[in-house]
Amino acid sequence: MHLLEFKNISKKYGSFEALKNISFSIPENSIFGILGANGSGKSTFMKILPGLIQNWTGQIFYKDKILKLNSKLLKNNFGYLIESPTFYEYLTAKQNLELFSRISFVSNDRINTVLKLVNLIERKNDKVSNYSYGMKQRLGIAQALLHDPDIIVLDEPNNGLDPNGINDMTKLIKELKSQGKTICLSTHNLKDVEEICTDFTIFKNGINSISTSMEIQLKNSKKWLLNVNDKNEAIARITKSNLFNVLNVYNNNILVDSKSNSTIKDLNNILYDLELYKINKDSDLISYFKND
Amino acid sequence: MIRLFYNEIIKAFFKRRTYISFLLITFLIPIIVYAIDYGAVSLQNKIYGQMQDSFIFIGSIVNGNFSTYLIIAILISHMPFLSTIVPSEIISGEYSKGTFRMYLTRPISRGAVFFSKLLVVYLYTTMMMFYFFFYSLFISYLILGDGELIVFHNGILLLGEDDILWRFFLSFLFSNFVMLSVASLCFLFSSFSKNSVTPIISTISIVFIGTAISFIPIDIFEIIDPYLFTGYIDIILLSFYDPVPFDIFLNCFFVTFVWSLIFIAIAYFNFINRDIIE
Repeated sequence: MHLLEFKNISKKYGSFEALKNISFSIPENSIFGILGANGSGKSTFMKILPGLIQNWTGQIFYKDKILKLNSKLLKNNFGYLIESPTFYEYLTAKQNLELFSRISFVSNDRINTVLKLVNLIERKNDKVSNYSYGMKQRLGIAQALLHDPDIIVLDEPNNGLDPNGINDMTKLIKELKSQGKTICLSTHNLKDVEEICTDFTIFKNGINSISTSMEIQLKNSKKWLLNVNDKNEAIARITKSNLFNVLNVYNNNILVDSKSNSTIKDLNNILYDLELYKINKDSDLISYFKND
Repeated sequence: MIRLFYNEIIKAFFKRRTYISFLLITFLIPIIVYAIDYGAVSLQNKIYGQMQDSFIFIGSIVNGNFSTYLIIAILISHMPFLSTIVPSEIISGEYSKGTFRMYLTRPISRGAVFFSKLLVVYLYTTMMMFYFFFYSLFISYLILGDGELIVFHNGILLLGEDDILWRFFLSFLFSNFVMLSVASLCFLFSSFSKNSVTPIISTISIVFIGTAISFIPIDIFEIIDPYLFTGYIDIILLSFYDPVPFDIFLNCFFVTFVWSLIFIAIAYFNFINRDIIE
């Protein structure tokens, strides 16, 4: 079941299109990765959900119900850690979480629970200015979990962490999944997606080019990502050829995998007269990061 | 809203810079009062001037009331600097440090956050002005004692001891309205800025220009001056006129109110629609 669905999300900064018709779904109790290089539109997209960015277009569905801009449901059921953790440094960790708990109507007991979860209970009375980056990141996770949300949105959670920190973060994310949470994380690190994500989408220049489950991705080794002008015609021909399977279609991108020993030559023969902008061999996720 | 307001109080009053103005007033006022006390004779002679030829003065005019009047009249034009300390950072500081990225993801409306911040700015400004006025009065009374107040309005005006305190309240009240306008202006700049220095510089520049308009005796400036909130910064002097020109106080209230409303409306619109990308 899809917990969250995005349809045609677009955002412009003046004439610059930061996001162009982003569409994908996040399954329930998944670790969903939004993968993309720097400047691909991941962070802009992550800021749309909590209402940090205004004036976007498109639709968001949560449990098949359409959500309005700045919906309280989006904030009540979601926990966010957007980019680097930024706290009121002159306050202690506990005082910081009290600020958040007060406006989320959460009891003070919950503060100790989340601080225990991220291993900061012993340092709760220290000023945040004395925390290392890794500790701030963990405190950021604690604030995201404070109101016990269903979905946790983490923007580049491993950024700036040392290998131990990354290991702890990975464990924590997996633990949250085991508790029934759905986690949506953005990253530019392929390894993060391969190691912990159950599903993913890839952002490139403000467009999400593919959205699929990791299981499909890993199982199929001979895949091709096509970018075509007339996708319906292309899909019809590919299906009719019986040489390839259509795995996924997003915008004008089609992800296909070959049956038996079909090659790129076969694909070119099938689509020879269509405007075919790009064919990428999808042996691994890194192909999506290659320059056009 | 109460919870948000409480949060904003914690955010503002746990910061050291919030207390700069209070510390400055705390140390500066006693120094000035002691200086007035020390130079009382020379000050008195300067004030009496040639009047000594026509009048016989018994006792000293340099007392707590006179000292307070003098301190407030001189320092009031510098209070806009201090009134920008909290509003300059209250929004821009959260943009620049990125704390809005976490705070505004909570189930709260931006409008409520905006007004809770504005309330804290007004609370700070009012507290600071109250402290400035009545701490000056307290220290002056403590060091120089009570007495009649001599002011110059259509000649010499001698105000009795029981006719002074309410005038200080009146001047506090209307000076505070002016400072709330200054704070609103700074709050507006804070909603646009990504650092806390720009709002201070912008606000003080506008206050400086407005004050210059009030002091330069050119016809066009004299026409527009009553409609500028900066024209009322020295309204404290009018509280000690006899009779008190209440029509000017009423003008002061309306002008400062309208300007504050304009500043707040623009700031609100900007804050509500601004993308938090920092």
